[in-house]
Amino acid sequence: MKLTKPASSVLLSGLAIRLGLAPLTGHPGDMALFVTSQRLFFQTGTVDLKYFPTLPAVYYIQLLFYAPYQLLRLSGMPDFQYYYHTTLMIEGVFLKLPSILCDVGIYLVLLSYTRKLIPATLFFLNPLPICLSSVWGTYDSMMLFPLLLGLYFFATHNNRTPSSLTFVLSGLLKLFGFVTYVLVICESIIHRRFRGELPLEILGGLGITVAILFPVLLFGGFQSFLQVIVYRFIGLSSGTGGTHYGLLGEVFNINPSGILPTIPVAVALTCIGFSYESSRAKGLPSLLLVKWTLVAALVFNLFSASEPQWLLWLVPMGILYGSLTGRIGLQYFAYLFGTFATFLTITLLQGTAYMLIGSSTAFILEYIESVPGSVFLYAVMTTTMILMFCGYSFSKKLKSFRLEVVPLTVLLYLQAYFWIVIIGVGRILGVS
Amino acid sequence: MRSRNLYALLVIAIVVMASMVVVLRGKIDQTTILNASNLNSLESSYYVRLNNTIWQDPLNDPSQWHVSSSQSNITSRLSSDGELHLNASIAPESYPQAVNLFRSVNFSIAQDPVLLISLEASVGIHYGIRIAGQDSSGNPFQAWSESSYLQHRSGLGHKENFTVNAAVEAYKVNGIFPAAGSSITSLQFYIEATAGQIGQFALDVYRIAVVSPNQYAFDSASQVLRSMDGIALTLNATNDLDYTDSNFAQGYIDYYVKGTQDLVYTVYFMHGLTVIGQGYDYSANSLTYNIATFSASNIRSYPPFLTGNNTFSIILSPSKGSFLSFQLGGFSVRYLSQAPLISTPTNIDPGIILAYYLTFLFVTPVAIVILVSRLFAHETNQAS
Repeated sequence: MKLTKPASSVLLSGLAIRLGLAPLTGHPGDMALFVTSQRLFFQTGTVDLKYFPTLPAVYYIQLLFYAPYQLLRLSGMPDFQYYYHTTLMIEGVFLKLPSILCDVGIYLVLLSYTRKLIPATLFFLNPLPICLSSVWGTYDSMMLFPLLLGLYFFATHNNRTPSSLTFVLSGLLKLFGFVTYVLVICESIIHRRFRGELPLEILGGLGITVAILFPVLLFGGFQSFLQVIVYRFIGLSSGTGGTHYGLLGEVFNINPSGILPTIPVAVALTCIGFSYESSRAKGLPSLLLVKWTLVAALVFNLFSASEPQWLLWLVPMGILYGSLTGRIGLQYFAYLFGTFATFLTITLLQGTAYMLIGSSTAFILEYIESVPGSVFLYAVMTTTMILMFCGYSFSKKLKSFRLEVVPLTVLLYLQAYFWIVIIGVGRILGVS
Repeated sequence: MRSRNLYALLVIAIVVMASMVVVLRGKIDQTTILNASNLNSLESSYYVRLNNTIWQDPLNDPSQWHVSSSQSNITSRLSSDGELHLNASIAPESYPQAVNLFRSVNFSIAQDPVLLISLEASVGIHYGIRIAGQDSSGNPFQAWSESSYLQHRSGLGHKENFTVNAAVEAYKVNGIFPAAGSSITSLQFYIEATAGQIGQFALDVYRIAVVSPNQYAFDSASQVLRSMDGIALTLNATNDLDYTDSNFAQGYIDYYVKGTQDLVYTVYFMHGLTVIGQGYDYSANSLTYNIATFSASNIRSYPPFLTGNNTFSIILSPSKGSFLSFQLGGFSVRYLSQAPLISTPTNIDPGIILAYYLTFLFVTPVAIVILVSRLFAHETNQAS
């Protein structure tokens, strides 16, 4: 693929924005977890697979990118402490680099898949991926890149097995990636590929998973891996104890005690829906896979104990589905959604000072940050926008985008702010 | 050909970086991280039982107790038969009303007294427990505050058990532990009605005992099967980097645990008498593997028993129920050159950096997207 001048300009702009933000910002809590594991490895030789707080594949990738930083430090490169961040400035950039490069990868995949500049630009210059990869320092882009790459291979190379294994890689970086893999397996079963691709898909997937997880077993972290990552993700354990019940739980004040296995139910329903549609289709149109991965992302965000960074999954999937189906409205709404989700997350859940200067108790924009019912306001607004996302994804009447949606969304926020923050309706109704 | 070169370059880059990982492992000077982990860093481990009774009120002599009401039109009656029964008839008033039940006690703070109280308050009424004492010079001190979990509680209509460390309660109120020679001198219960509340209410006290915690050493690597009211692991970490408590970043402890049906516990990381990290609340009524994480940002309470001065310890402390079995898997306590900040900084002038942040995060990307959309509008037209 050859990049045109406009595509190169967008790529350079997006990279410059990310690299401009990365050294000065960071999520102090998450970055502390990552940098601790890296410093332990390079300064004490400790392989931190037992207590690393997320999937081991993320640890391996961070090791690869952190090693050149250590080499530069050994060769005398200075690094600086900025405000109250838990990493040094350049150190933070190296920790965020895998996610930033995966953003670039997603941009190139969208460019190749859709053969249009606008969809790829709507992702790459979307404030949500910029914020998550270069400001926060989280790794959702690392999962989305192989996921989209697999979908691209599926659509263009017509070779199922390598694509399925790319989905497994995606799942080993964040478990959501396994959903698309499960959909492919379902499709293989429905179309009775028992002697063809199915054994390769299953054995290949198992092989990669075992290879990635074996070191965890070796360093005695397999039980904590199951407890903290797997059981918690599928809702069968409170994991580290910080259980929460997602957007609808916050909106309706549902806080059931004990386990809440919404994710297995969500996956099962998605598989059933996909299988039904797939059984009626000839072969496996890649569009079907894109559509049902998007459905799964919507369901996960709405019905499970979702986290704000999960909202990113909707953006490239929505843009891709919109581009493949001619839904201009969905592509532009995905951009608006990402922009608003970023605004809501950094103001209502963390405060701008948290990722900017590293303080969770200082509020720079007090009127929109340190407000009563902030989590309720976030949940109401995000749920409303996800429902609008559903409308743009599947309603026949919402194929085009009208600019009026932008002021409408702002008005929705102002209305919600008035009723929830000023009047205190959540407190009156006893839901916040 | 070009894409083949690209793949080759990618593979070479990964191989080079992987080689660096292998070569540089543990080779960098330890300057920005401190870690205490594995069983070599464990100095001692003991569990605590609250089984050494110092004093117990037999609850059969009402003359030891004094009843007083905030208003004269409240009628109250106290009786005892091995249990203490306070009944009050409250007439409606436009202001809150209360009935107090008080007695003098005398036990030395040096014994680290822990009060075990069982009581039941009627549904609809509020109640509370208050402890006070005096130092060796006779100066009084409070061991309760209005915001304490022991105040203004709603009556549940069933028995509730409390474990209250008098010295810890005094510390929470005054910010310092009572001086040596201090003693606890009064114990008070009260029930209170809100404005306009009317009816017959009761407070039944089933047990008041003062115990001193007993410590029993155990081998943390093997399973201990006992009834335990707390578990403490003392660490002997070396601090070559002269880090202070504010450098503590996060800690982990993993273990197998089983407790009573009602067990709810949390994990503390203590330096002497100061809590520098705390975990979430957990339950474990069947044998469970758990990995608990603790950090400074999660501190919200204080353990009900005290550890030694100037020692680092990890404490598992129940707020309800007790442990029945425990086996340590491992732990790791981590300090960073700059740990997450939990206090509010004052020397911040974010004007320019905020403008930079918002420009890079929102303004520039949105402006470029608008530009690209205008320039490439034909893509949109083709699609629609």
